[in-house]
This record gives sequence, C-alpha cells and structure tokens, in this order.
Amino acid sequence: METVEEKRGRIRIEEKLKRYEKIDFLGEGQFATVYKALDVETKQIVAVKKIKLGSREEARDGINRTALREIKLLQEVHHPNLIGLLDVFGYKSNVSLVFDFMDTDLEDLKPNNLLVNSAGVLKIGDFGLARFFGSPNRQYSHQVVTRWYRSPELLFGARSYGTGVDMWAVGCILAEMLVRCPYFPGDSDLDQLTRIFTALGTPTEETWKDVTKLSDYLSFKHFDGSPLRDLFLAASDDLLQLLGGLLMINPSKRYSCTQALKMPYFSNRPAPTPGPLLPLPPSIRSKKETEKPTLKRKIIEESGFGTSLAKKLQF
Amino acid sequence: MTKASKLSGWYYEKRELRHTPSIAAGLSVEQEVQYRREGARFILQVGNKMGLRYETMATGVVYFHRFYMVHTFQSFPRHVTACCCLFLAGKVEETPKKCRDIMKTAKSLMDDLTWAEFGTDPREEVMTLERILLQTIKFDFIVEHPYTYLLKYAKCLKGDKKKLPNMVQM
Repeated sequence: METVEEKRGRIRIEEKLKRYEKIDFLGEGQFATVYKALDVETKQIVAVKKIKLGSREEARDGINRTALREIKLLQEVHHPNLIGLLDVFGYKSNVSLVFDFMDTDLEDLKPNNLLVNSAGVLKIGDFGLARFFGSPNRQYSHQVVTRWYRSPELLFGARSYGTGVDMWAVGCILAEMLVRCPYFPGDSDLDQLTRIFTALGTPTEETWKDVTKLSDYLSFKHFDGSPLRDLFLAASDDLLQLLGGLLMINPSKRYSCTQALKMPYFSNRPAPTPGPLLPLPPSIRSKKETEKPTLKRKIIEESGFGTSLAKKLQF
Repeated sequence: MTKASKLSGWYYEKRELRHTPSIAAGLSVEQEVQYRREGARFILQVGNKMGLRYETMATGVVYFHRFYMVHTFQSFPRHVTACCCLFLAGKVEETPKKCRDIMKTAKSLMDDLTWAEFGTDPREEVMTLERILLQTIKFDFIVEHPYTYLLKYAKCLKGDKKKLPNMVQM
C-alpha cells in the first residue's frame, strides 16, 4: 500500500518529468547522457544531463559519488564562466541535472568541456571530477583528467597534487589552439610522458626535486627538449612566456592562475574582442541546429586567436 | 534555485515544529522529540563505531531531521532512515562507507525487534530510501556546521576556564 507521502513524492517526480520536454539527443559521455529539452515552466531551452547508473558494482552503493560531487560543486560555485545548474531531480535510480543550454556541444579541463554560447561567453561544463579546494586531506585519485591533458605529476602517480594539474591542462589547451590539434595526443600513459618529455625535456632530480619518489615514476631516456620558440613558430613572445609558465614540467615551478593572469600577454595589445562581437559559426548564426562545427573549431574562431593569429599561422 | 529560497526551506517557526507531519498523523509531541533524539543518537553510534568524522555524522543528523519535516515516523522506520542518512552523508562528505558495512554495524547495535524494521532485504531497503531521501531534501545536501565557528569563538571568550565548556555545550 502506498502511503500519502510516497504518493506525494511520486507526484513531484512526475511533475519534474513533465516539466522538461525532451527535444533532441545531444551527446553521450562516460558518465552521462545529455538531452536538449524545453523547460515548460520558463519556456527556456535547457540541457538535461542524465547521470548513468554506473557499473553493477557501483550501483550497489546507491547514487553515484561522481554525480553527487558535481551537484555539490555546482550548487556552491556561481560564476559567469561556469555553467549554471538550474535544477536537479531523480527518477528511479537515475539522477538528472538541468543546465543552461549552451550552443556548442555539451559534455576535467579539456576542450570538450569548454562551451561557448551564442553571446560568445565561454563556460566550463563538467565538474564530475573536480573537488572542493581543501576537501578532506584524503589521497586523491590520480586517474583523473583525460590523458592528453594530464600533467606529468599525475602520470607519475602523484596522490597529493594541487591546482597545478588544471594549469597544465590550460597549457595543453592553449597549445592546441595554436596548432589546432591536440598537442600531446598520447595513446598510453607511457606514450603520453614520452611525448611531453620529447618536446619539453626529461625531468631530473635537479630540475624537479623528489620526482623519482613518485609511486609510478619511471626513468626515461634523456631528452633535452626544444625551446618553445621552435615548437610554436608563429606565437608571439608574450604568448610563449605564458605557455612556458603553464607547461612547466615541475609542478612547483608551474604558474598559478594568479601568476598567469598577471602575464603581459593578457594586457598587451590587441585587446580581446568583446564576446557578443565575436564571429559566430554559420550553424548558430542561422539558428539551424542541424550540423554543428566541432567545438575546437569554434574555440579557435571565437577566442580571438582565429582573427589575430590566423594570418600568421602557416603550418 | 537561488540560495535564499533554498535556505529558507529549512527554517521553521516554533509553531511548525509542533505540527510536524508525524504529529499531524497522531504522534505525540513527546514521542516525536524522543524519536528524533533516538535517530540522531543512533547515527552517532554507528558513525563512531565505523570511525567516521564528526562532520559526516552531523550532516547525517541534519538530513534525518529534515526528512521528518516532510515524512512521518509512522510510515518510515527511524532506524532505516538513520542508516540511510549516514550512508548519504558519508558520500557527500567524501568519507564513503559501503552500504553493506553500515548495515553490519547497525545490526550489531540493535536488538532483533528493531532489526526487523529493515525487512527481508535491508540493503535494498536503504537504497530505495536513499532515492526518497534525495528527493525529500531536494538534493540540497551541503550542510555547513557551526562547530568550527563555535570553537573559535569559545577560545576567544575570557572567563572561568572550567565553566566555559559547559557554556559552549548549552
């Protein structure tokens, strides 16, 4: 026999299910399926991210912790450059998150998680693996961040790491915008490290104290690495200076966000184009949702690099 | 889902606290108070035995109290709810415990009659309740506790060092 409360709870869920009308399938990731939907109440277009139940083993322990973490973070942080969480609801064992709809493809810090809306505003869109700063001093998992954007310390198995891992990812994204394809596309963790060291040089105890003590440390063939100037031929000096600070192999020497933002690159001319003035990809301009250019393409076009650097970049 | 509107959802007038769903359904005020106390104590017992941090247990207790501002003790047995609150709090506070282990500890702390509240498949019972709990607390599971502030202020207080702990605990 269903109690009054249970009935009430059920009605609430059904109301939620009715509130969001599915319009389109947007994409599927490892942890979630994303749909474009209409919020019947506000007439807004939203993105509904349905968290997958996970493996059988995981489902044994109820609501997915990754999902919990994402909800928790999104409720705490409000920033114009972070995707806004509008609503959360559950149905059966699923949990669905409702987000602002972004005009670019939906789905750690990698180009696929950087979304740009039609007003030219960039938002970071996935917090599944992010953690609160200063959350309990537990040992962190080192299997975070898509491999191509993973920092050397993570690849070497470091369990206590800082925001430096994100700064490394930012460096990789910046490099990717310059060369227009992933900069360190390793096909295994070993290959990933090899690619990094070939380009930037193999670390030693002298250049990175205690690197050999990391749990997955392996000694690599010695590479000298090349000056960034030789790797990014078309980049200006101020940009290379920024890139060098971000792609510092030793995490303790890597720039923090504050340091990076103080670099001349951000104050030197040309000034960034205001968001709304950025050129829009034709698909969004014509409001046609049929075929979208890839996100990477959009970032290049809309970041300002497209206009200011396109003429110089000849590869 | 603005912060203000969500926050206000968990504040109650004294009058409302005397007219909870359970009381409306026939429970006496004294019984309600006793059940709440028992539930909270049980969360602390299980949590302590499992070596959980104080914040995790405190978060579980807050969920427990919120839960019974919506549902009744008559339809949701308090020990099952207590276990479920601790289970969810463990995950939220990044000190996760397996549902199975919580059940094991809980069982060791109660008599057979109370254990019967959990039915034939205790784990499934708690898992099902987790979904109801999440809906009930509206996924609003970040709880900021006053304890750290309280200790900080208590340390600033001047006066009789012996009386101070008593005062803080009031």
